[in-house]
Amino acid sequence: MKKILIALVAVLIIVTASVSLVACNNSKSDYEYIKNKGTLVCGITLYEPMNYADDEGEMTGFDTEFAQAVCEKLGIEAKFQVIKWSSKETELNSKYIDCIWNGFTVTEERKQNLDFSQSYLSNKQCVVTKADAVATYTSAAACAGKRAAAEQGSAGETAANELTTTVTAVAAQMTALTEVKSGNVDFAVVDIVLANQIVGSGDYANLAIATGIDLAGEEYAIGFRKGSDMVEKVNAVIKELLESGKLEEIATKYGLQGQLVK
Amino acid sequence: MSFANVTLELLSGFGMTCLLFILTLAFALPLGLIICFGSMTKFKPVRYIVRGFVWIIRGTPLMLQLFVVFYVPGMVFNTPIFAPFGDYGRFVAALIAFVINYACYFSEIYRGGIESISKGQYEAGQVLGMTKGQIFFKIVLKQVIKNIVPPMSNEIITLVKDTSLARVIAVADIIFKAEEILSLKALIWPLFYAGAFYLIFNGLLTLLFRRTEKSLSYFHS
Amino acid sequence: MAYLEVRNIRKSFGSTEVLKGIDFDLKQGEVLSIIGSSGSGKTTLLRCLNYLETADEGQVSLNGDVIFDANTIKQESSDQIRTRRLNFGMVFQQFNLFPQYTALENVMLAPNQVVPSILKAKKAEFKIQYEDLPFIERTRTINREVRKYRKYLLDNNKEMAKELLTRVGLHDKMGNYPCELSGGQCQRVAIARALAMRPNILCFDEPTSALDPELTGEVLKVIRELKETTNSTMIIVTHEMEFAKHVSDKVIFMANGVVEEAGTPKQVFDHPKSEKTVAFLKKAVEDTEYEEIGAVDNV
Repeated sequence: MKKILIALVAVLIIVTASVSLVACNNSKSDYEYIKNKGTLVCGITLYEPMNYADDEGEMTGFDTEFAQAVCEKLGIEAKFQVIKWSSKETELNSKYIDCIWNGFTVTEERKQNLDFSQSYLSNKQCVVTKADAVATYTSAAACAGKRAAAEQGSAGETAANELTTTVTAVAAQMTALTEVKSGNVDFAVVDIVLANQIVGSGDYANLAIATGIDLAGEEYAIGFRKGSDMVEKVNAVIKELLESGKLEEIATKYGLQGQLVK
Repeated sequence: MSFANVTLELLSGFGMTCLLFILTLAFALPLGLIICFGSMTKFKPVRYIVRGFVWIIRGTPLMLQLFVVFYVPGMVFNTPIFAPFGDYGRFVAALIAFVINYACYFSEIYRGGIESISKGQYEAGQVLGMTKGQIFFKIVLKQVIKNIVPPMSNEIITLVKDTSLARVIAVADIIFKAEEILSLKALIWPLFYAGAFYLIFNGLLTLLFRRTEKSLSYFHS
Repeated sequence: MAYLEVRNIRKSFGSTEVLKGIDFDLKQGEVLSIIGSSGSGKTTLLRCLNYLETADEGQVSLNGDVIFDANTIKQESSDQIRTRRLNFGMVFQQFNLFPQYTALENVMLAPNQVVPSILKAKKAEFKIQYEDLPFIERTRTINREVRKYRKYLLDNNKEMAKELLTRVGLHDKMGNYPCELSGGQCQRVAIARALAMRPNILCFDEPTSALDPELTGEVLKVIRELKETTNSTMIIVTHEMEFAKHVSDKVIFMANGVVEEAGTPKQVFDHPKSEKTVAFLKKAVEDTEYEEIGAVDNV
């Protein structure tokens, strides 16, 4: 038994040591790495209007076209990899994807672990309740004391914590909406882009957005590995696309022109 | 989204589920036997290493193992080893994690089955001049199989449902597809519909195991 | 020179010395009964003869050939030991029949395992015999002859198994599985199975101890018939004193790992020299009487 324990401790030490060694190890630049393989793998979840399949099964959406436009300028190909949203940072650091480009909200916490491009869309969080109760949610004060749900680690969770004291952190924004629908919580705080798409349709027809509550705004950007030189390359292209009016054209196609950050 | 469309989507996911299930079984069943022999060998270093390995695999969540197999090589050695497999990389990683995990569980079931055979059966074979291989294959094996069918069927039915864990590394199984429909089309019912697929599949497996048990009920050990 | 010579067999389990130097001789066709209380080492002695335990010291020779020597046994391959142990047949207290096989299959199993190696040798013979034939025809002929010979061997084994089961009185139970047979019938199948490999000496390890009293008779009858009809050499570890007295040519009384007394049944049972033997026999008689009284009460 003692021998097993010693062996186990040894294995743990070796693993920890090699992880920390490699963590300090900076290889060649990220841009060169991506340019070499010729593809920029964007980590996405299927999400209208950002990245989704059209009726023919072709990938489309604002972020899809945006990424394709940027990559074209960089002379590489955009590839879209569906990931589990909760593993996005792991996917990025283990190099299965090269960026997170999927209506990705900029937050201070996230900035510590990855680098953002310049913001390209503004987004807001909103409060979603059952349609028959929405009339009572006239202001932020009406949320006090109510039960809320929001995606773990999302901007919505931060906002929900400011609104009330009992906040359930769930795995996904959709789960937060399901919590409201099933009556487990009174309201959910989710992205307005998502809410506009989902709330009031399908199985979520009996939910509604509390339009009277105005929550702090936030912005979408592209997430890259920490220290990546892709950020400046992509920022330069975004600037170009803004100047040429190409980005506005894409945004208009998906009804997002009002939210574009110029 | 119509019922037919949802069915098609879920079926494509269910194909992935079935493939993962069948391939896991195909590799884990024999690998489990090898691990089992390793954990029973008289050569102590091998026995301790194998038992330690089985302890680690059975003692940690499968979800974590999926993470380790798929992500850790990329993070530690800076090379995503499953990238060369292209679109199948995630599936291959999930398959490896499942095969290792289930082989360890199977090995313990095999061990229990083998140890339940009385010493007298081996001795009877020995005094009749039979070799070790003949004793194992002609005398012990069938009795072991009879003993392990009930725990095996339990474990295999668990495997069917466990395959849905592969979605944590974005393997597009049936639950993954149902969740995708949920977030794209705001439909919850496909999730429950997906449950029906599992139910029917496990129902068929249960019938199969019952028949196997019955076909071995002609003798008692 | 005796047929079987056992010299100075010693065996310890940990610090307990179970056999403290056993010697005895046996002539061909003789029946030896080993009696003694539980823990006297008689079963261990039998297991040592069958290589199920490896004795720490001593030699065993059969027909003048040394078939066991504690000093050299470690260097012998498992194949050599396997061939040698076929000198002995073994019938266990717990029968140890193979539950997934019928009575007939239990008896045929071991002989059938030998068939492939016989065929291999036979094939080499055929190769020489048909050397002159052209290649394709030769291969075809050899394969046909081997198939024919294989069928002949398997049929032969089956016939032999049927014959053996008939001899132990189970001609109507050949297709039955062990779980469908009584304890006495199982033990008779086990005897037939042991005979199937044609052992020189047949060993019985308390063959009736696991049986209900009313079933012991049929098994003892089979053993007695074996002695009378085939003149088999047998070693029987038993608690059945009456049986040992009437069937054996020789009796050994073991106590605490040594041969306390040996001789003809008449010498050991009627004129025992050792006090231990006297005490053991007295107790055995009392136990039997007690059992008989109990049986009467139950009726």
